Amino acid sequence: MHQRTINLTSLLMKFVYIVLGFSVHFLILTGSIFGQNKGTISGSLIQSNSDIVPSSSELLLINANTKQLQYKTSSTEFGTFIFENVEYGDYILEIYNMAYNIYSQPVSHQSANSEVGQISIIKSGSNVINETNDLPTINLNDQELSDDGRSAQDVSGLLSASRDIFVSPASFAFTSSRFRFRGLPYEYNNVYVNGVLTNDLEDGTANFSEWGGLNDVFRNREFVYGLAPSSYSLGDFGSATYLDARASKQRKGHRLSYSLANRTYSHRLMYTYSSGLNEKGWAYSVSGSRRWAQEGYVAGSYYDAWAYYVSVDKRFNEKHTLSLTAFGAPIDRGVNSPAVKEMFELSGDKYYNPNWGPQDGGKRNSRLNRVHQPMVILKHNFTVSPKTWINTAVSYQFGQSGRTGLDWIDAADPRPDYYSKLPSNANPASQGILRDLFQNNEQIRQINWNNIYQTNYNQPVTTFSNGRESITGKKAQYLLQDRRADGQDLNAYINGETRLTDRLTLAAGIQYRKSSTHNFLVLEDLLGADYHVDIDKFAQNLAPSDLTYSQVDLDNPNGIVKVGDAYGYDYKSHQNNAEAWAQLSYQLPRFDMYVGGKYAINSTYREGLHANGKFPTISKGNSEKFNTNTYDARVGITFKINGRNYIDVNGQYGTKAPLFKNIFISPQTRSQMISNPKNIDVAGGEVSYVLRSPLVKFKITGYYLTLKNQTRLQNFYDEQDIFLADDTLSGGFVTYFLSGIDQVHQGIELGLEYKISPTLKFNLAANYGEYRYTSRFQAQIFEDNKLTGTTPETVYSKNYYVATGPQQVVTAGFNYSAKNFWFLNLNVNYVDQIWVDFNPSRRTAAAIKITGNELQKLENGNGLYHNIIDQEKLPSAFTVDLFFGKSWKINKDFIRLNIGVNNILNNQFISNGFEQLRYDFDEKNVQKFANKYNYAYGLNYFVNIIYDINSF
Amino acid sequence: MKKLGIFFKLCIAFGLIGGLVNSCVKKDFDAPPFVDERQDINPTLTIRALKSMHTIGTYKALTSDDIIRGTVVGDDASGNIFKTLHIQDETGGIEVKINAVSLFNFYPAGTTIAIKLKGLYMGDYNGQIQLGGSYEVSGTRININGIEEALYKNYIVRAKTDIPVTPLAISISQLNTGHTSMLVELNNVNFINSDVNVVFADVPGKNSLNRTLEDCDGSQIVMRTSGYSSFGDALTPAGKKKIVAIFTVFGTTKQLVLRDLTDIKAPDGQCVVTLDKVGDIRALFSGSATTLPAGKKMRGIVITDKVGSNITNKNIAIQGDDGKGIIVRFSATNTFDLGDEVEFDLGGAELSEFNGLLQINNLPLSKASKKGTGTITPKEITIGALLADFENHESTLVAIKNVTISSTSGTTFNGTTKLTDASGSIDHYTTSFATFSGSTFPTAQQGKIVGVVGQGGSSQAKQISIRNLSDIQP
Repeated sequence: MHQRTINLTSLLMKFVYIVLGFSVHFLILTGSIFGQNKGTISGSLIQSNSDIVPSSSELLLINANTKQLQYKTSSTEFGTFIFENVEYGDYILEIYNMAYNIYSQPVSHQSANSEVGQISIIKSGSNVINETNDLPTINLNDQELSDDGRSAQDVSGLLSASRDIFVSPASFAFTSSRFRFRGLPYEYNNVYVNGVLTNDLEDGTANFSEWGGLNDVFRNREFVYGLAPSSYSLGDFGSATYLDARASKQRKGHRLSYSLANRTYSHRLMYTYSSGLNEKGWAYSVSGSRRWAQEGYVAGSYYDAWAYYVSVDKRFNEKHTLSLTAFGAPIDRGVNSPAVKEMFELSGDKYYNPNWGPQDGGKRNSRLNRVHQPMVILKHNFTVSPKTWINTAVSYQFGQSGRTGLDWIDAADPRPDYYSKLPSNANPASQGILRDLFQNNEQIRQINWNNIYQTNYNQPVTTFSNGRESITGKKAQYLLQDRRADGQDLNAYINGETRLTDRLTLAAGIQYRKSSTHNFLVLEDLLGADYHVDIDKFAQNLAPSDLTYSQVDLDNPNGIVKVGDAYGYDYKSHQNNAEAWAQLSYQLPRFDMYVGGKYAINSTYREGLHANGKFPTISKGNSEKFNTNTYDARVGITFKINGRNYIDVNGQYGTKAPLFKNIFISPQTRSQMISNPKNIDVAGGEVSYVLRSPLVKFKITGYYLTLKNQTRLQNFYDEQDIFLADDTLSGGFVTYFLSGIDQVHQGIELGLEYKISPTLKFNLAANYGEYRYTSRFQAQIFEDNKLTGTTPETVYSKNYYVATGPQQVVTAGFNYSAKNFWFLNLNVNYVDQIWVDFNPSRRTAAAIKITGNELQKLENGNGLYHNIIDQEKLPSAFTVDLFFGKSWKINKDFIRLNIGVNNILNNQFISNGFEQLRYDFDEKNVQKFANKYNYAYGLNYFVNIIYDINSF
Repeated sequence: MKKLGIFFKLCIAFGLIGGLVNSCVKKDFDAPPFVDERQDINPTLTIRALKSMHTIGTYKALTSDDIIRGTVVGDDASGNIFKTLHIQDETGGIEVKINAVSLFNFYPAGTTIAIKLKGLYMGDYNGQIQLGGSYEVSGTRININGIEEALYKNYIVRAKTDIPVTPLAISISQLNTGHTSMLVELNNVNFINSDVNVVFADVPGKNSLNRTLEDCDGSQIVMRTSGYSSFGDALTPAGKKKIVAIFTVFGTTKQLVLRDLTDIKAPDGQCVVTLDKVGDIRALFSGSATTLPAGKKMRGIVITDKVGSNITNKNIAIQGDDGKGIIVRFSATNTFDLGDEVEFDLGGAELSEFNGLLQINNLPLSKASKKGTGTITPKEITIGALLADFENHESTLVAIKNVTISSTSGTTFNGTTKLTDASGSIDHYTTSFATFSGSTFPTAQQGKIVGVVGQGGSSQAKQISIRNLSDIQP
């Protein structure tokens, strides 16, 4: 198990000890000035986040003042260790084991028997967080649905504070610029709580709203990224985060904290109590928090959230532990949306939010996100032997999730930044006056709620009857609707790991998941009117005299809708998935290798709950099931050059099932699927060089990942702007179907930590990535009322950049931790290569055709040509972050203060942008439907005050 | 004691924080009260006076502090009118262009609004006068652009009371440019045949369509409907209607813009048709080919027989209730039967003589419509009396008694034979196409022979022609 080199070193060490020990012994015998005080230092080792005892490890005691190695011992097969005859003094304990990361902690030895307790050491190849600092809170920069119906949910700093030297600074520093590891979309970053996969099966996102506000109890995390293996699952292409939220893993004691910030929320109050595992084998833990802001960083965005958590563990014996955990977070927020440059300029505000308007002395936001999807997990840990464990769990998640928005029937568009209202779109004679108006009059830039109410008040009082009931009152022209997507998820798995021999470990598992999302509308507010009639206004415009065509529920035609009633579309998406995986790892002195595979059966279908007039035969009932089998194969090898230098090579090849949202063309109206749904082919490889030594940690990774055969469906409303292949114009509610999407994500990641002195560290993390599309997509447009789409046309998308946050990032900084419990971090960050998401229809032959002349098109080199097809790159940006923390000990309690200031230089840069899906085919004016952007927060801060009671 | 200690510490901590911080988030907003935007505002100018200041083809910047006030007669509720309001006061109407949709929510038809003119522009769209927020030169045309959505409330004010407007009852020929943007009522109009039972507009293609209406006098007007109208895919009705609509012009074309289908109602009464007597029509002949003026209509009964075919196939002879007759020669083969009562629309038709025989020449079949059937009693007359007063009897049905048929050239009817009675003789003409032309005529004296009086041949000979063999009665 021990390398030759270390044998040499240890031989040398032994020699040194003999000499030293002899000297000391002699000195003691001769009564030297060195005191007679000696004692033992003892403790035990455990593998972090598990009950596995590590194999025999080497422990060293290094004199804290002289930095010389003084004592050495090994741990037993039970994990216990003891240093004998250790002189009183201050030491640094270091623990070495091939299979684990180097561990180091200070030890102050002043008694006959110093007990350091149980030390958790981290399995190497993984990056486990065991934070003691209370680093910054979740920065949910949630983006609402834009005009074009796209949503972009920001990942967030939840995944920050990893101890990995790349992940930690990178994810934290770049959160507000929406950096994503290797640029991969959400469905490739899996998040597990107590082993249960929580990513939404319908659209792949991990719903961070479930545990926002539960930082205290979600502190135990293992973050595996890239293609590295883990014991809990085969992970995914991008990353896997395992949160262990069980009661027995929580830090014992009370913790009360209050935070003040100026981000999405302003205040947070959190209380957690964990009992730790008591003698009877019980552990319980409760946590609750409240986060709120009347107005967050962005105007008109409020935040009103609670979170609760309770967990009870019973450890029956060393073998069996049962844990029941339940948590939830009801969140109610008013969000902001991206906007066009013209509005940022006219308002003079980079955080212009088009979603709110003045009402009743306050700022009323029309786009509210309200989610409450609690989860219950029952988990059983079975430590069969020190070499084998098996975990079983079952979980259930349920609840509600909705986003509100304005809807209008026969009335003016209420959006203040709708393209036709902007001064740039007005005729030249009026532009000056309108610009002045927009600049000086805030109401014009925001939603005019008063106008909305007055329109509804002005409606004549009518009596409406549908044959089943009738109502007398004013029929709404404006209303506020809640678009619900209530999720239900049942999850069960068994996984385990067994050490077959000293060298060979087998991990395997099976998982079953049954998930559905119920999508429907609820009338939230009638805005001064008395009722709404449930018909599809767009269908009505297409065939005004056909009263059946516009029905959304043929079983209840012309339904009368009042506040709280469900109406409109109604369908459920169902996803079922069963998978089995296994991974074999083999450890040799010189190298570790593993091979793993997964096989999954995936099934998805749509269940329509209403028959509508446009598609009476294919809207209600279950659709055909789309079944597909996917697999995943991984292999990797780590070359251990010596105890400090490693080369890691990993490769993966497999398939992934397409998401529901990319298979069903218009699930709101019908069960039609795209004609040939295919699995996505994923393949990738990475090579890393790692250096781990007490003073320097360095890692450099080259990665190359490909995704092939992806499809994407996007729905939006377009009046008469779709230029079909036969030169006719069409329009209405459309779905844009793209297929054959291939992309490559490649780059180099670098992480460096250098311990300049015991108190000062330098860190550097960088990613030099290039993420591009490598194929020409095929695009087809489906109108909402027709089953056949347009003839597929080619999108000249090859080599365009993927819009996925900054592709090149660098952060460098210093961390100073002083002796009397305070620390200071300073980081300078740089982001670059942020590309705007492009509109595929603007990269087609039709987009550059000269209007009226089928044979002629704009040429390369022509200014207008480049206006149309070039992809916009956002400017690079520098930011500087500063963190300060100090703690005070009061008897056995601690008071901690953490202050963080992000972006001290207040550099307000554009963090992301996208081209609108509408394009002016007629006049080719790309500014007509201009790009929309979001700015990263300027200077923002938080202050945390934490009171830890009885934390020992 | 230890536990109490912790509890105590927590209480203090919570208390401190609770006291410092108010965690309420205001999320409920009171609905604003209804605001009555109506104002007492009086006009300083009539709409007619304003329009009289405009020269077609130009634009005028309105700079005086004048105000006009009118009632909305056309709003955008149905989609047929878009980004426009038509308003009318007691002197006339005008079109107001506004760059906003769903204006009917605030200014539905029937509401009276005042418009502050200062800062607006007046122009026209091919003769249709408009008010708007700005103008734009486009080639040789000057377009008026709508008042911007963000600005129109600076100019348009709802009046305190709504002044009702009664549609103006008028005829198509009376409509002129002074009536633009006014609400008019046309009685007894119908869609022309080719525009009956077709859609008002092209809704799927979102294109406007024109449908033609005509009135009792034959005057025509176009109804133009937008492809965005909520009634666009309904079918045009047949028959006479009373239609209320907004009158607009496009160059020299008169147009109607319908607000919705309830504006098409049942007509009041019927078309008053003035019929001219056949004799009066004959009297209009000037001696050479004459074009009859518009509005000339006559009615008569067909006295020739297309079955017997003793007349060229495009011609018929008509006898009116004044006892006079005339030939009508169609531009295509005749379709009317012996005994049909037919009404002829003779406006613009040619009145001429062919070999001495007076006829309406080249009349399209569409100008003749069957109204019923009838019989003409042949006038008993002697040949001598007939020849003495020939013109008055031309193309009428006569009966000659105690008459013999003879011929110098054969025994069949074909061609010219002679009729003789006690008072004289007259030619009898049979065309070679007549069914009986090859039959042998009776040589014995006949009790009565009925025939149509005519004239023909290069010599313009006076003649009688039987329709068929039953015209010869022993």
